[in-house]
Amino acid sequence: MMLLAGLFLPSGKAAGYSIDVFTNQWTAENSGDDTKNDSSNSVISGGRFYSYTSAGLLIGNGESGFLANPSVTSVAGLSWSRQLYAGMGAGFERYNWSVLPLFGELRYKNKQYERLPMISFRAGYALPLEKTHDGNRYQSTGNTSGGVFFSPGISFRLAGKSGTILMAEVAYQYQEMRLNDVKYIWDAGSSTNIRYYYNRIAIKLGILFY
Amino acid sequence: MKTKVFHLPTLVVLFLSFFMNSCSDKIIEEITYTANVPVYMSFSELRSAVKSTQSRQLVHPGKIYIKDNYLFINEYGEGIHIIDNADPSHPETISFLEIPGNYNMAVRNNILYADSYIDLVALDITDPANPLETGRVKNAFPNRLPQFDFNMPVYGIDFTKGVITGFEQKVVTELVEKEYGFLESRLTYDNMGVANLGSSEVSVSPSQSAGIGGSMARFTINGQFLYAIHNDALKVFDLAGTDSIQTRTEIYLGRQVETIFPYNNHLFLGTTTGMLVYSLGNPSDPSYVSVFEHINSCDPVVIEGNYAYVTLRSGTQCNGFVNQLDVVDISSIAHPFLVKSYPMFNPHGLGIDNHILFICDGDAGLKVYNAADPMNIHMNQIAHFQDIRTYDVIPWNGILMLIGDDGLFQYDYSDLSDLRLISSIPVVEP
Repeated sequence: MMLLAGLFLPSGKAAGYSIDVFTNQWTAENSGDDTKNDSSNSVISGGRFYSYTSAGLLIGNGESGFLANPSVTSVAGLSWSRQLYAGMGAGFERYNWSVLPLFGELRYKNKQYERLPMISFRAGYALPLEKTHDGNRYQSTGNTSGGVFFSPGISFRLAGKSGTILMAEVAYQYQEMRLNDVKYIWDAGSSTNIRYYYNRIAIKLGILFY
Repeated sequence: MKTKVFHLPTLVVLFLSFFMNSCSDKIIEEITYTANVPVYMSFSELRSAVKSTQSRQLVHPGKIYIKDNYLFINEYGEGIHIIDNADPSHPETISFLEIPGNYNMAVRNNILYADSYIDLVALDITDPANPLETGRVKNAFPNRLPQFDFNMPVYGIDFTKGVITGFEQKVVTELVEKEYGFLESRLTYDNMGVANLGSSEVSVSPSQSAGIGGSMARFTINGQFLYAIHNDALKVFDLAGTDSIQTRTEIYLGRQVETIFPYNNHLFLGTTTGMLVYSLGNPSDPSYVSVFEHINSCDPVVIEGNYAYVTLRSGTQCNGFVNQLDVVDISSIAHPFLVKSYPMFNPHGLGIDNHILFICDGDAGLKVYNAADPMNIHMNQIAHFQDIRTYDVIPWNGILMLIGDDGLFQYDYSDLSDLRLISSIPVVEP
């Protein structure tokens, strides 16, 4: 947790704030008085450090039918009043080829209605982790490139309280990627640029630290 | 105080069902390639383009047609040269008739019938120097395409925009669902040699080649009817009316037709897969009589007596791999059978006059045979002129007319072993 805090919040304020994570007793769910507790301990405009690491599967119908590919992501950021969370994250995901997603995240939890899930939204860009891929119609090797993605979702608390919560997360994930190839399809030659528009359901388990 | 708003599993199911429908990947292929892109002429422009102009030089001669003392030479895709050939040793060019998209012609009385891309046009040539358009059948030959590079795909054809007068090679970008649709833009031929582009049957103009009212013609007139072949169909037009052309029946032949030759009240249709015989017993509705099958090849036909002479040649449009002369016995018109085949180099047009057979054998030149004995034609070669390289030949009134890349040549063939060139109309490169 200290490492993630250092990575995403390199300023001095962020460092002191990260330490605060482990001393904070975020028990508002039971007390119903989080706002007061959080604001009294805030370092940056009331913000408090949080991190969220999740792992699961990206499920959908690909070129060859149903598939489920792995997804592991980790986020660090600030939370306000244990309602609004904003962070930056990275991870590893697999589509036709493996990618490194870099993204920003927003989360919101309505504390008045405890049974309501936490809603989240991620958006960013995925960098390819493989330079080439055999993916076009001619089975030749093309050059991979990344693309934008976004992912709205909801999360539910499965277990845990007071700073460490095990969560289940379901999200829709849209991802674009490209594969570029030059191929002599006709005598005059031609190039192909395959645009992939992935539509997946992400089902994950995650741990939220705050 | 906790408030229960939603039941958790219900919410999850709703969420999943909402998104599951959209969880199929979409894959778009953006393909950039060099293609044949059509160039259009509007229908109104096409239908006002026929006109008589001053005579001009031969540049790309196509088919020729003889009517009385006049010689008509097609300028490939552009029109017709009208030549006074009363004295074959001094042919005199009278005028040039601009007919865009013209490749074929035939003459009845004083009316010249010519194709103009998709239309059939009638022109009064009573005064050959000033022909007048007297009739037109619109869209008589639909979906016609000019020649193009078959090695490249065709992009963006729309027959409603006008007639396609040519193709430009351009780099185009096409977006298609992955592995769907793209390949349909390439010209294909079915197993009967009929050209298709995507799901549309099309007619590709013949490569530059010559015919006469002879072995490579695609128009022929018998009585009051014009018979024209278009792709895999035989079209019949009634020319009896003075001011109009009536479209009669259209007979689908099921195979790509290359040439048409009328003989003894029958039509002999050279197709890429055989020679069809149709009876003109009812000239407005020809009826099938028989077929002489052969392997895929281009096959001009001429007839004399009880024999049909068919040359088969290899060529890109005909998908053929043989080069030979077939002699077919048609004494029983309903049961034609092969008498003998003779190997050739690359035979194109041929003509026959009183058992003397003339064959334009591609780069091997002009060959002359005595065909009186169909079993021994190869043993009776009279002459071989290697330097006369032409597409087609017609022996007519003692004059041998030959046409090829270099122009029109007229020979006196009274001495078969020593053809004497009496005149020529050479091709002039622009």
